[in-house]
Amino acid sequence: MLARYIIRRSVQSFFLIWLSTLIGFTIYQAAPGGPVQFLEDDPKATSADVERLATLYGVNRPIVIQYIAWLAGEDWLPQSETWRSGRCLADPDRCGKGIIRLDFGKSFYFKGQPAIDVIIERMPATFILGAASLFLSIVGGLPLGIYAAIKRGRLPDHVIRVSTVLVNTVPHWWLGLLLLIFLGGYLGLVPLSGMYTIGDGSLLDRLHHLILPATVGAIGGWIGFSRILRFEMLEVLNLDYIRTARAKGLSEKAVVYGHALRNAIMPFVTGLSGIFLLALSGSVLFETVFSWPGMGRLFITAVNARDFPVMMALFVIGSFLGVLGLLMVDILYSLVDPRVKYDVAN
Amino acid sequence: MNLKLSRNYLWIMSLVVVASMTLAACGAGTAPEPAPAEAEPQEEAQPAEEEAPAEAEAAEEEAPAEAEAAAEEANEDEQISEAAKASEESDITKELDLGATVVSDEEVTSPRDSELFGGEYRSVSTSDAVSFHPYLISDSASRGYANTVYYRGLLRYDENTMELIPNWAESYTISDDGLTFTFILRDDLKWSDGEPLTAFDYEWTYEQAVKPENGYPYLSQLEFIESVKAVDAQTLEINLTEVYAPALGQVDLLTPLPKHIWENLPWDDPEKNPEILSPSVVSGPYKLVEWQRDQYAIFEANENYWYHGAPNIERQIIEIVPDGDVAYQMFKSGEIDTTDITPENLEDAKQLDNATIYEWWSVSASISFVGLNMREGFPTSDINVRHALNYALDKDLLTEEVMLGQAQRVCSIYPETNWAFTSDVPCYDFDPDKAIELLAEAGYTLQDDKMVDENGEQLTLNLLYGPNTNQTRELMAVIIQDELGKIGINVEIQALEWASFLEEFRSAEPTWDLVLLSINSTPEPHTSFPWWLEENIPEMNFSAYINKDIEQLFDEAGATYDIDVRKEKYGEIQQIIAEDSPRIFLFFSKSRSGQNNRIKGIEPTRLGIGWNAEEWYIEEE
Amino acid sequence: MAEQTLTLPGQVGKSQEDFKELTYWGAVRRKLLHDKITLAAMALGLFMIIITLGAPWIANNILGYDPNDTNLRERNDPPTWAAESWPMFQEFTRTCQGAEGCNWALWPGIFSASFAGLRECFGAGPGNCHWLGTDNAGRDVLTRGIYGGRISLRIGAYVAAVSMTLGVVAGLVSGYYAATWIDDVVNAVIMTLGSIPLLFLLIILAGTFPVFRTPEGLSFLLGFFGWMGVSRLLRGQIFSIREREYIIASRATGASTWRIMFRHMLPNVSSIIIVIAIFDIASAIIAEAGLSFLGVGIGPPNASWGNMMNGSLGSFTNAPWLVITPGLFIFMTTLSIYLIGDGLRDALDPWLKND
Repeated sequence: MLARYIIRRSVQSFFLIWLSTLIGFTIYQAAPGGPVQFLEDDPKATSADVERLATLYGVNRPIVIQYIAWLAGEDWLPQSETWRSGRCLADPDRCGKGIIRLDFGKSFYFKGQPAIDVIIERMPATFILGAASLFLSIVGGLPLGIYAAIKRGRLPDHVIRVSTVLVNTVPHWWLGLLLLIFLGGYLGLVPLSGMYTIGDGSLLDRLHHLILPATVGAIGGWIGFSRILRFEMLEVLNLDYIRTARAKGLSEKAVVYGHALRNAIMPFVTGLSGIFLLALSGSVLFETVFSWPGMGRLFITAVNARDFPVMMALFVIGSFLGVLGLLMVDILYSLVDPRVKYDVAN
Repeated sequence: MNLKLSRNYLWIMSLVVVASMTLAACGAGTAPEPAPAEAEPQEEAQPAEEEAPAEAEAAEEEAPAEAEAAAEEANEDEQISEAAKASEESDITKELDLGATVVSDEEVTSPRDSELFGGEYRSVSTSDAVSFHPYLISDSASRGYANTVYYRGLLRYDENTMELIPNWAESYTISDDGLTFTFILRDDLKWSDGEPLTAFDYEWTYEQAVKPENGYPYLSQLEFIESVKAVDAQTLEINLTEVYAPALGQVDLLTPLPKHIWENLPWDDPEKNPEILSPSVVSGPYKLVEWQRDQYAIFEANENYWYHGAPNIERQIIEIVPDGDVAYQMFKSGEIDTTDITPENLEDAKQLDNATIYEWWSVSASISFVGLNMREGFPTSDINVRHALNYALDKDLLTEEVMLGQAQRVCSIYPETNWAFTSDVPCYDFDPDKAIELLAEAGYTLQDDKMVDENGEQLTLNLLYGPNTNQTRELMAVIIQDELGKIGINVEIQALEWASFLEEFRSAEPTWDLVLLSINSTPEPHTSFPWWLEENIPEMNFSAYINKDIEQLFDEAGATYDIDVRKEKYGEIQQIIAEDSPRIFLFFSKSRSGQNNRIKGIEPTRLGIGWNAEEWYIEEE
Repeated sequence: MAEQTLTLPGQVGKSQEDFKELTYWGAVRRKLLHDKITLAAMALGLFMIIITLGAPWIANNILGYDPNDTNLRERNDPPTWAAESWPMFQEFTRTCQGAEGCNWALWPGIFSASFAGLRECFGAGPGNCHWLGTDNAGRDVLTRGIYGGRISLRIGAYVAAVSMTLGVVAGLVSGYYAATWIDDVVNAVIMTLGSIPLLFLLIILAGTFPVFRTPEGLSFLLGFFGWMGVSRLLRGQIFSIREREYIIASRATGASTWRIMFRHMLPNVSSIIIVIAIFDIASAIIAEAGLSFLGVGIGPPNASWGNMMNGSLGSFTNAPWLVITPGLFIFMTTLSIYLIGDGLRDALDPWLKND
């Protein structure tokens, strides 16, 4: 049952990803400017230069053909300038294979480097920041939620709720900027930019660079998780079996951690579904604020340069992560809670 | 080299900045960075840039300077430099004699021989390079990197006379018909792996670059060359299609690549040609040690490099720091050795006791101006309106207030530092009464503080600028709005993101009347030619200014190597343009660079701060 | 909706007068009026609305500055009252960077100079005190802040309007037609939008089309991509009331689908809609700030809280007021919105226990 469900969802997911590429592509094509625009006002380049380059890149082909070539490759297309990029015409080895064959194309802005390579180079940075933020938000959010639930209605609960509301009323990147100014710029406690000191790169040095961005990146999850968990804990703590457990004389600790938490944590897993997407989206702002060399900044560069292959590759990766998140949560859910059944018919 | 690097940095930084917004200049991708000058002083000017923040502007300027520096190099021909000194800052007076051979006699040295050798020069760039391939890149950050590892200088500009003098070439000769340049290369030039660097490398590289499928963005720049031939290992013969004045400078576009390494690798495919992203055999002052994308690049002195001696500074580190403020903080704390100094930071920077702020007027400075739309149907198609606007703007105020004195007013298409400059042009000093008078001639009258036409409609002008994040430009736009408002003209400001700005400003049917731009100038005056050609409407000739006399004069100036004749023609061109006022010239910027005091030997000239970077050295205090 | 009355437990048999009091909205009002936090939040919200709506008057008569008047001699000036204490603070930060560590002894001086400055500022009159400093064009930051509110609040309201309209319609329709193809289509759209990186999409759109750099364009964009949550929530609610007797009854009387949806179902979920709409305003303001900060939001001739911060990049340590001011405006606005929303949520659900 589960296997069939996964297959069905995967098919659905691929369809979703395809749809999002179509959206991304359409917008890109409708936007003013193109990957060769940088040459157009360069006095060193004539319009013949621009034309030549556009043909070479294949960006002056009809839009639909460009999309087909991007999606399915151009090596099977007719041998003509209308269908193939100049590069592919000159050397069949350099034809795009299309995204269905996992070829994300060659970046224009990065002068022919495969788009995926450009992204992979910047992936670790984003991944490290995202993982650190997630770790901090779970480590911080879970206990907070549990604590607030246990102390429900009492001072700690109020303090936690008020502070989470307060923190949520400002953009988190703005908090990051403030902290950067004060802790970094004025007090010199944290570095102002980058992932590590050149020539150092020891673990301690990396952590020193990571601490502020990761903390700020964790705020969102921290609030979200603690809220979900508090709510769920309260629900569960009111259930009969908890009362039974208490009646049996189990210690409060055993009740909370042994019985309640296990059940309360499930919806929390759902909360993780958007986490990949969130991490990727959040990376744009946090990486800008903290000069973090990751994919978010790359995305802005690519959009500004109208570097279609890189932009779309990031877009597809983002969609993929989004879909993957949803799928994983569903599966995780069934593992955490055996009661969940996947009815294919439904 | 540090210099170079530093220039590069600067460039890069400026570029970056610019890039992000820039125009085109030279284009870089998104950010077109102005890559202007840097590298090739002789190449054209690129309009470079525009960068955004004020800092950017400052940066740009520097950048070019450095670039130039890079370009230049140094050997000084004793006689020439003496002559130069004698004539002080005067324009080039020497003309190139056809048939004559110009010789240099400098000795090759290795960096390791110098007692000053060692140390690490750290700088920052706002954006990272994309590639080292000299024939693929178009952004200034990459150009900075490429110039660090691939050197090209057959000739270089003399820092005093601005004249091209032999560098890697031991001597060069121009044939009697002016169509053949023969360069005799030094016999001791080497690639970093010890292999000799010969004319064959030049020949092979040229052949690759001109193949259309190899995607060199600036192929049209090489059109004046008919062929590049290596007669023997030391003799390089370049044939031109016609007599072309800037040719000698433009030959410098040819950056040789190591034929013995590259021959068996695909020219432009970074996947199969590792040299493109991590060059192992280089000719420049530094070798690449490590490159972490968007983080940093580390370079180390190349002991086989030669230019005006070799670099004293052993290592160059370029760190990518997108935020100018962060960079400035790092500079203050001594973490980095150089940074852009924005006009806002200038006062603070001058107080620093660990750094020196160098300032100079560069030959590659950026000129800021207001472009006027001369197309039929726009108010500014009337010369009286153009003159009136010119009189109505207080250019001294703009220069003082926006640039805080870090700029000089300019009335012509060339800055004072260019040899072709003439001061004999109408300058349109601030005179609002005269402006009102001229507008009256154009059919506008001042009623109730509003300048109205015959139908009683207020004269409204649409002022365009970009990128919208450029605060200097925003400031200028607001001031222009104020100033013109004082004589009843309504100015509507339109600020666009870079790509959209480009689209709009070069549109065949533009909606703007005024556009705010700055364009980097170059040592070679001829590079501004494309801006005035009718065939370049609407791209480069965005004003749609058509004057056949100017095209004619440029053609004549370009068809001779006689400096005096050229000077005269360029002078006439400047007069005609100033008279016709397709642009309201505002100012050209001072170049500025902050350097840590531990860096010694810095002497900025018109060529920029980086021209003698090889001679810089580090002295720990 | 006022005709909709409720009989609350324990209130049966009250006089006609009391009965009036017990209309749904009456109960809501009563509950709200007893909620001091919400009242305070409403006061703060009202204050923000007044200062932004009254920005021209305040700028003229109290502050004495025009939001777009540049003064090149006063670029990036610290707040006037901190003219003396700011350099002292900078000195303090310099000591922190140095080897000896922070020189805390500077603080008494900083405080006394600030207080002296504040006193002077209070007496200075309009046009003589930049309360929150100036930006890089010498414009008064406070003045721009209150003007920026006009745009930011407008965007908040527009976005809420757009996303609510879309979300309510989609939610109503998909809830009413649950488990039919209409529901499937709406679900598919929501799923698609939910699986693409929306921030990326927004950056592409706002970064490349100038039309999305205007308050209206940006609002449309944010609203257009922000309705899915509402729709999903409403669908569930509608679905649960679909088979209630009064709906079935009205269906039996031949009421049109349209009428059932908008006259009978919508009022039932209106409290939820109001609460979500209020929270939506806050998130729209924050989203605008993010996009404008990245340089793909509102274009610069106009001040918005986001693009004021974008302008601060490159000089934020030298002029932190450029970052702090817009952030504080956002903070005050969204805080009041959150609290009002919270209070309303409680009040609109009279059965809800105070929790």
